[in-house]
Amino acid sequence: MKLANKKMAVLTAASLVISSAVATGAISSANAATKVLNFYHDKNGWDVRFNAVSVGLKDGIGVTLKPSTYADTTLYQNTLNQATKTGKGPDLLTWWSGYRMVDGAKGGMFADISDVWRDAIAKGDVSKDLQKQFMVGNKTYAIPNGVSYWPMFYNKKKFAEWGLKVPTTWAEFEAVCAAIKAKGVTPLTASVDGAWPSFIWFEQLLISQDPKLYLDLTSNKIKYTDPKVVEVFNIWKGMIDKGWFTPGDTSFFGEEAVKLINKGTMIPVGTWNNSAFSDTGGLVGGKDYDAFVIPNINPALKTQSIIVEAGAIGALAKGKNLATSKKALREWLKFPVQAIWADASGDGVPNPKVPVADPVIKGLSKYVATNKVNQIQRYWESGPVPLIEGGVVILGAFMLGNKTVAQTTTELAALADKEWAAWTKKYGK
Amino acid sequence: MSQKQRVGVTTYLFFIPAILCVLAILLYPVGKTIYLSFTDSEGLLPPVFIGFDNYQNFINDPVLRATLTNVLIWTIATLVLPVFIGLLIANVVSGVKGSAVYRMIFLLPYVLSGVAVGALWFNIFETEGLLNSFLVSVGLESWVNSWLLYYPQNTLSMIIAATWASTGLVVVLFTVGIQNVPLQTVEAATLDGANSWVLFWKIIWPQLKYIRAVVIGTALANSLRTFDIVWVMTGGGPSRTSETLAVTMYREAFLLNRYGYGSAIAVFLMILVTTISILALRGGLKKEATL
Repeated sequence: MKLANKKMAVLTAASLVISSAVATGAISSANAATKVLNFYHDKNGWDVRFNAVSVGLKDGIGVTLKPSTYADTTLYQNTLNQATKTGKGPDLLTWWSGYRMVDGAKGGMFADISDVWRDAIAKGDVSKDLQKQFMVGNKTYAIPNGVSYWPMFYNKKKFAEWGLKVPTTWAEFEAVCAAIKAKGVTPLTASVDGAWPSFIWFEQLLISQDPKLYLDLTSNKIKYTDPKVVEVFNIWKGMIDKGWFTPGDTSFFGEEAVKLINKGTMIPVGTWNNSAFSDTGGLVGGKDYDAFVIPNINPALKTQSIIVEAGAIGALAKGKNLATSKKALREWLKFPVQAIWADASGDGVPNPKVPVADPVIKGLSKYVATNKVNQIQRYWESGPVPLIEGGVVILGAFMLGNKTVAQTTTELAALADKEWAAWTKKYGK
Repeated sequence: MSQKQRVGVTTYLFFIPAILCVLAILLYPVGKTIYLSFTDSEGLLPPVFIGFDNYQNFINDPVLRATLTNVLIWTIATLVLPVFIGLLIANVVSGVKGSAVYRMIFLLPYVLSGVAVGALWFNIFETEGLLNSFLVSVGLESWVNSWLLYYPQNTLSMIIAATWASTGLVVVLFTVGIQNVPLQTVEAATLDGANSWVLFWKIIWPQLKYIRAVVIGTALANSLRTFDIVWVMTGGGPSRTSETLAVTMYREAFLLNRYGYGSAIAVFLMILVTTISILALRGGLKKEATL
């Protein structure tokens, strides 16, 4: 019995040692032998796009991507927080630009890739203006994961059927909404589903009223209780009261987006959703549907403004293949890969040398360039995370009629005071 | 050392892997959570000890009142509804021909994950969902509502979903309890002229004491830490109106990366669940023991 116990103990210990040694060895040899980069992202359904990029990277530098999708963004963020400490997990990862990068940059999540940007700018592969969205201090931590405008998508055939034209003034825009409503169709999407979409109309109405107002508000130069901000809320409230918005639990992605636009509802959303209409819905861009820049509310403004979103792709600072990861990011910004991305995503790309093929994006890009439309960073990336996350909750309550304009602006102002103070205490101004 | 002692030592050595597993998997996370609750941990930067600040902030958090109210509603509703409905169904199907099939049908929703249940019922309750479509089809347009967008109807809608999912297990447990009631006792009571009502309250109900304690204890613990269905169906919203303690904890810790604050809520939740569960189990068993 004693001997049997001893034997079992030895066998157990030996098997543990052997299995851990085998596992460690397997991981080490896999890292040494391959040029495959683990690529983590939370963009559902985008593996096709990333696999296409992988082919481009393989052709260019002999490196491929192994994409892993996280369906839940919260889980994704926390997985990467852990990976930041251990260095295990991804080599490359998607993230968000602006304020949402700061914690990761300060906390050691992202590798400094300032040299990648320096070279790309020198070769004309990317603009210096865009770089600012990926900088924390004087270092740059990510490349753009496409460049998406936030226009208004609309059903071109329905517009023709109903005798409507693309609005160029706010009065025309209101007339279009009223006409669609009269046809028994809800004219505009709005949603609080998942909380975040509540900022869409908030930012849009602010930049349509006065882009400087939006920039001052998001940089904490003015308060949410400022009379000009209150005025925008009143305009928004008027639109809500007219029944122009879809119910708060409306989803406007994928097939849901197709259903909405087929009915004739207009959808203000990033051009990353363009493929939902063309690929998922089988609609022909420029013929069945199109997009326009939402007109200014204030007729005194000389130029229009549009929200621009640039997602981020960074390299894990403690990643085991950091040199290869930086090489891949460098290649990612070059023409061949950018052209692949433009084709696969049906969206805009940061490299100006890449011709835009998609008719909707092409038309929009041309309009933005010709009319010198102001390109403004999205609200989601324009402030400390707790302020934005708390802000969308309050905005959602306003949208559902649970808070008045005065309550909403007062609560937002109090939240901004608290979170900007916390931010300043943490990182300075 | 005698042979007996050596055997004893060897025996204890075999406990070590199991003890290490318990320490690593169960106790370490609890200890780490308690430690983090006294820090300002935000995940990436080293945590700084801040004493009871997180607990103080939690007590002063304006969301706390709404959250605790929701927990109370969930606890009462998910205790009363599944237990009552489960007991009713168990009583009705027991002894009926093909009762095993009925039990299986009622148990089916229980095997679904909370996420699947949430997704399923979201499609029913959303504004453009099945329930409203049905109401329109039967001419009840005036009843059409945005069920998940307003409080407290959103919480009540989710409780219906949770009841649907959890009643099956209660049916099975109570059925087992009812089947274990000695047939002779039932027959004797019947011969003495006991009607169905008397039979149930005087004979069956007292003999379900242990099963009842388990059912109530489980239902209490589950309701106090309700998370998945709420997270999937409303995310705790709109405007945080349908948050439960577990959702608040998740939001703070994982959405806002306030691990320290989230840990404080987790510790509070752990104490609450443990205390109420112990009290409920002890109270239930003690009460029955005197019968």
